[in-house]
This record gives sequence, structure tokens and C-alpha cells, in this order.
Amino acid sequence: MKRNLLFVLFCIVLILSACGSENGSSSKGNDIVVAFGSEPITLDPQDANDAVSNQANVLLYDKLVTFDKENNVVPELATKWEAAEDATGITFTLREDVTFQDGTPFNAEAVKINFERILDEENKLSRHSLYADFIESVIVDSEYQVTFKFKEAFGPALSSFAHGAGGIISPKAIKDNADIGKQPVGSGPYKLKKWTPGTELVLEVNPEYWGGKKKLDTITFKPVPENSSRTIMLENGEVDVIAPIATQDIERLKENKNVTVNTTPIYRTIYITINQSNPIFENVKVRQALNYAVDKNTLVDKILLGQGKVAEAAIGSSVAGYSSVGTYEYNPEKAKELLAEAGIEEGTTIKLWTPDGRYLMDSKIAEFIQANLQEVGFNVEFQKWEWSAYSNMLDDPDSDYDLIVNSWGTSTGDADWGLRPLFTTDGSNNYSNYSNSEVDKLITEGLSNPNIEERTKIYNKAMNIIKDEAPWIFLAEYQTATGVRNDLQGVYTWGNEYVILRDAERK
Amino acid sequence: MSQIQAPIIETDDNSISLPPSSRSPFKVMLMQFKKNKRAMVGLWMVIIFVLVAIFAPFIAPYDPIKQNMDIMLQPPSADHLFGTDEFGRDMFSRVIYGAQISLMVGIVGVLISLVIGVALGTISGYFGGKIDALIMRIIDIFMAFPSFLLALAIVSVLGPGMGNVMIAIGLFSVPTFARLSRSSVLSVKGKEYIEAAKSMGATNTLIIFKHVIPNSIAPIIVLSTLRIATAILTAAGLSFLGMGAQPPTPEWGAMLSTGREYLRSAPHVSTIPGLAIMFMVLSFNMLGDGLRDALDPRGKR
Repeated sequence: MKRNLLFVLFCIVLILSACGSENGSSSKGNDIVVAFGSEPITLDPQDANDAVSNQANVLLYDKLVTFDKENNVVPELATKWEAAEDATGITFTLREDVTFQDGTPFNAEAVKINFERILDEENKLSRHSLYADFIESVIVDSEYQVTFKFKEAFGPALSSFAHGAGGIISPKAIKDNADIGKQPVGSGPYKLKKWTPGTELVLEVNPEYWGGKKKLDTITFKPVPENSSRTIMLENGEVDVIAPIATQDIERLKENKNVTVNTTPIYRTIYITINQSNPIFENVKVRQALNYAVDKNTLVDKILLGQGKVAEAAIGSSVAGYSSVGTYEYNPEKAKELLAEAGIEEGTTIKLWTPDGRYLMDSKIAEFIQANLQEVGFNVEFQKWEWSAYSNMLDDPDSDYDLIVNSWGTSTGDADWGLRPLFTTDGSNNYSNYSNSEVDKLITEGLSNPNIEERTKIYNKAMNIIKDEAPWIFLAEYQTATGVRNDLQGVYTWGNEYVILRDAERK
Repeated sequence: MSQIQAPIIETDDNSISLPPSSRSPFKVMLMQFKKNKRAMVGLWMVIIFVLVAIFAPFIAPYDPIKQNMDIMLQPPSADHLFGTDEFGRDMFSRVIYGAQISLMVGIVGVLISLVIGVALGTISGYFGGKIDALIMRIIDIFMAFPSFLLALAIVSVLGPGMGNVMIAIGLFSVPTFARLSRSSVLSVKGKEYIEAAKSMGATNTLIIFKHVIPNSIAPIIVLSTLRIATAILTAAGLSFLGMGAQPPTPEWGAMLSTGREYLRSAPHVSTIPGLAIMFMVLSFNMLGDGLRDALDPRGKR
């Protein structure tokens, strides 16, 4: 009798616990689960280098300014700002109604403590150089006004403050020397609930958020490294958001009625660097011929399968300061004519090198271009490289490349960083060995002007020259795809490829 | 490698009951071989592969590297027997040209190891003593590496490309050939006809080329056939890892590797080259096994 009773009790407990766990793991209601390729590395915004960490940090922290869906800079903790005429400083006016998740009030002093932390080289924060490169000092003007002084004119400063690394941490946590990477304290709409490394990271809503409580109760980050598993989890409804999506899965997901695939243009472009030090490519006609020889439309439609569009400038269309300067049409006949005028014989051997798997479809794109270039009479030697060997090759000043597949992800979202390292005579990533004093002058001019409309005009001139001189084969700008269940809305992606969940809510 | 014992043809073996005049060792072998159905199937498959490789330009309906993005990833049809790949290239033509490459790598690779391995093994076995010890210790060191890793390491040093793959495959089989030829030379060395030749004043070179090698070659032939299969498989493996044939070369391993991404949407792109590799390796293995049985004196019934 006693044993029977125990058995019944045991069964009841079992059933109850089963119910409990079922409710807990369900992704319905106001809890969502998102699956990315990896888990966050650190929740310290000033130390976070990877997209997934930043995706979590954007929920935990606010910044002075942020991006909207279209990558425009908009107010967040600052209500307004004013750049110095000569672009050597910027002054922010701050919100007065903000408190951090630990109750500390937000003010100009908090901003100063935060930026002094990242500017101090001793702290070894991985985002140090983003600000240390241009900020000279931080000055508290009043309780709610703060001014940054720059080392020299720096027009694109504002978008650097909208970068994930600009997340403002509670000054109390900084003073207490807390382990911010694991115990984040921000002022954002969500706060950390639980983090089981390797399994999941759970964020819960911050009820006292200054901007009004958000609609979701919890957001759970799951690391799912396998591309196809992520897709299947989304199809099953096990998770609500996935990124990235493998190219070959996109078509299938698009046909699924329960899922929406959002494609967003990102800052990253893919192109082929033409090494102008090689005598074959000294003549601008040869470089233009290479551009005419490549069928960019087919490349975008059939290889990138919609995860990209034909590049109409040297930088991506979502980058601040962008304007279209047009593209070289696909015209193999014209390419042949130009090559004949330049005296390039048919069968001239050139090398085309590509990394394999570093950038979306990189080696496929290269293989396609090889066929394009062979059609206009080149003999193209193709080689795929493993990434570490490839980057060593790029760093080696003696390496003897002709055409190399490259990609640039203008991380600040501003045209300056999309052009200065790549096209100025002493640019750090000028692998084409391109040099044009007019372009150098225009890019410097853009740097010392704080007005984005004027800068756009300056960069347009520079990019027109660059297009005509063709130091690259201009190919495509990437678009990133995010898969979202249909009952969820408000999920979008910034140009720097961060998936933003701040405004996510159930329909 | 356990399947390779050292079968030895003993020309003066009197265990053959029939009068030797009517049945030369070669004829005996041929009869044994013909009786073995599996071996004959293997032989015919090898012959077909060789013919396909030689006449590839006449058989293949399309240019194997001509891209046509409008018809990419099409399933097999009357126009394209094996369908098309991710660049719209005809898979049938690519598989046919791929036979050329795989056979070439297999044969050239094995020739390299055959020449070097047999030379080392014969010197080692015939002269013995310190030379033997030195050569065999070096061979032992090579044997300590897993053979695929050895090939991978060699290609990494030399750089990717089909030529380097052949060299790597040649080198990685050298130890096996050296060991086998040494052991069969050892068993021949003590025979009376060698002593007779020596007593008649023949030079070492003459004895090696005229008597030792011809009498110890049978197991080497078997090993070569079996090693061609291994070489083809290894070359495909290296290309699969991107260390071998560079695009757009229609190499089976490389085709298999790129086809992997389309396994769910277009399975033919990876399965067809996979099957091609399988059948070619199988045919050489069946041929090699048959040769071994035919050349093995213990197998004579």
C-alpha cells in the first residue's frame, strides 16, 4: 500500500516536472530563441570584436548615438550633438532620465569614465584603437554635456560612436573592477539572466528601461555552428531567428510559408585587386578591359544567388558617404579591342589567386571570373589558398601576385575607412599599388570635413577617378540573409552585419 | 597492406606435376587468371577506363571547362547524361576527362615509387650489411608516418598542383616498394643460379639486372596494380582538400569536394564523381587481387 502510494506520488512528480520543462523550453509566447554560428565571446562592449558578442551587447548597452535600420546615425543616450567647424572635436548633450541596471545614474562623468577606460592602453581592450586613433581627450562640460577633443581633423567621428564598442558601461561596475565580460551592467533594454557557456545565453527584459519596457520577456542566444542544423531548427520552429544562412539553403527557406528571409545590404564588398606593379597591368586600358570582361550580373544572380548586388562604386551602398559612380558593362568584344590596343597578345598568362571559404563564395566567384578572362584571350593560372597562407602572402612585400580576390568590410560604416586604406598612395591595404595625387588630396579633404553631404560630393569625385583608372575589377557588394519566423517582427540587420533584436516583438 | 604477402615464383619449382615443357610459368599464370571471374571483370573495367581516357576528346560531348550559367545544377537528362554542375558544365564530359587525370596520376605516381623503391630495395637486399641497415632505417622512419599525412605534408611543402601530387604520391609509396623488393631479393639471392653466375665471374650489375630483378619482379607487379588504386584514391583525397588539381581541372576529388555544398539540392554533382572514383579503385583492386592469386605458387591447384 505504502509502496503504491509512493509510486503514484512519483508519477505525479514526473508529470509535473515534464510539464514544467515543456513550458520552459517552448519558444512561443514572449520568449524567443535565436541561433547564430557561435556564442558571444565577451559581453564587454569595449573588448568585443566579433558580431555575435556585439549582437548581445547591443541589447545590454546603450550608446551615445546609434544606427537606425538604414544605417543613419540617430540619437540614443545623447539627444543632440555638434561637431566643430574644422572637425577637430564633437560635443554631445545627454539624456537626463537614464539609470543603469544597477541603479547608477547616467551623466557626463559616466561617459568620461567609459572612454578613459578604452583609451587607456594598459587595459588591453581589443577596441582600443577605434577611439585611441583620433580622440585626444574627454571633457565634462556640465552634468549632461560632454566634449571630445580630437588629435586632428576627423570628419567620420560620429559613426564611430554608434559602433558597438561605444556601449556605455555603468561607471560603478568599472570602478569596482567587475568582470564586465561576464557580468555586464549597461543601461540597455535587456539584462543578463543566465549564461551557460557553450549552451545558451539568456537575456531578460529590463523593466525600468528609460525608453519604455520592451515587449519580449527573454531572448536566448544559442550557438549552432553547423549551417544546415541552423536552417533545420528554423524550419522546425525550434528557433525564431537564424544568421547566417548558407547560400544553398536560401531558396528552400524562401519557399517555407512560416519563415521570412530578409536580405540586407552590408558594408562588405568583394572585388579583385589588380597589381599595377606588374608591367602587364600598367596600361589603364588593360585594367579597364578586365572590368569589361567580367559578367557581374550573372555572378550576382547565379553564384551569390541574390546575396549581393553589382557594385556601383568602390564602397558598399549602405556606407555613409556613398554615391553611385556606375559600373563597367559586360562587353567581352570591347575588352578584346582594348587589349589589342594595349598590345596584349592572346594567350598571355596571368595568375588569379583566391582564398577558399574566407568570404561568401570567394573561390566560386574566382572560378567564374577565370572563365570570363579566358574568353577574352588570357591564359589564367588559378590557385585556391588556405586563408592563413593567403594572408601571409598579402602581408609579404615581395609576393608576386597579379589578380587577387579581396574583400573589404568598411567596419566604421563611413566612406573614409572604405577608401583611405585601399586607394591612398601609402594606404595600409593598398594592394593594387595604386597612386593618384588627386585621389589622395580628395580623401584627405573628406577627412577634415564634418559635413556628410559635402563629404559625399568629395568622395563621389574620388570614386569617379578610381572607377576610370580601374585599380580593381569591381564586382559586387554583399547582402546578408537572416531567417526569421513569421510571427516575429522588428528584426533587422545593420550594414556591419550585426543582427539587431532590440525592437523585436511577437505579431 | 596485410593482403600483400610476398608471393614468389620459383622457376625451378618441381611441385608442378605436369611436364614443364608444356606449361611455362607464364601460361600457368594466364590460365589461373582467366579462371578467376572477378579478376577478369577487373581487367575489363581497367581496359574500359583506359580506352575512355585515351579517347576522351572523341567521347565527351561538350568542353569540360566551358561554363554556361543558364543551365547550372541541372539533373541528368538526355542532353546532359550526368547533369550539369554549379557552373553549368557538362558532368559527363568532366567525368570522362577526369578519368585521364586519375589514371595519369595513378600510373605516373606508381612508376615513380616503383623505380625508386625497387632500386633501394634491391640494393639493400642484394648487398646487405651496413647499406641495408642504413636504407632500411630510413624506410622505417618513412613508414612511421601515416601515408596520407606524408603525402599531404609533401604537397604542402611543394605547393598545390597535379605535378606535385604525382611526386607526393610517388614518394609516399616508396617505402612499401622498397621493403617488398628487398624481401623478394633476399629470397632469390641464396639460389643456386645466382651462385653459379657469381662463380662464373659475372659482375654485380649484371647479376642484379639479369637474374635478381627478373626473378623477384612478380610480387612487385601485384603491388603496383594495387598501389595504383591507392594512388588514385590519395590523389582524389588531396584534390578534395584543395591541394591537388586546381580549378577548372575536372579532377574527380575536386568535383566531389565542390559538389558537397549542393548535396541536398543537386546530389548528382557529388555522387557521380564519387562513383567514378569508386569504380576505378575497385577495378584496379580486383585486377590486383586476381594477379596475386594467379602468381601465388600456393594457389596452384
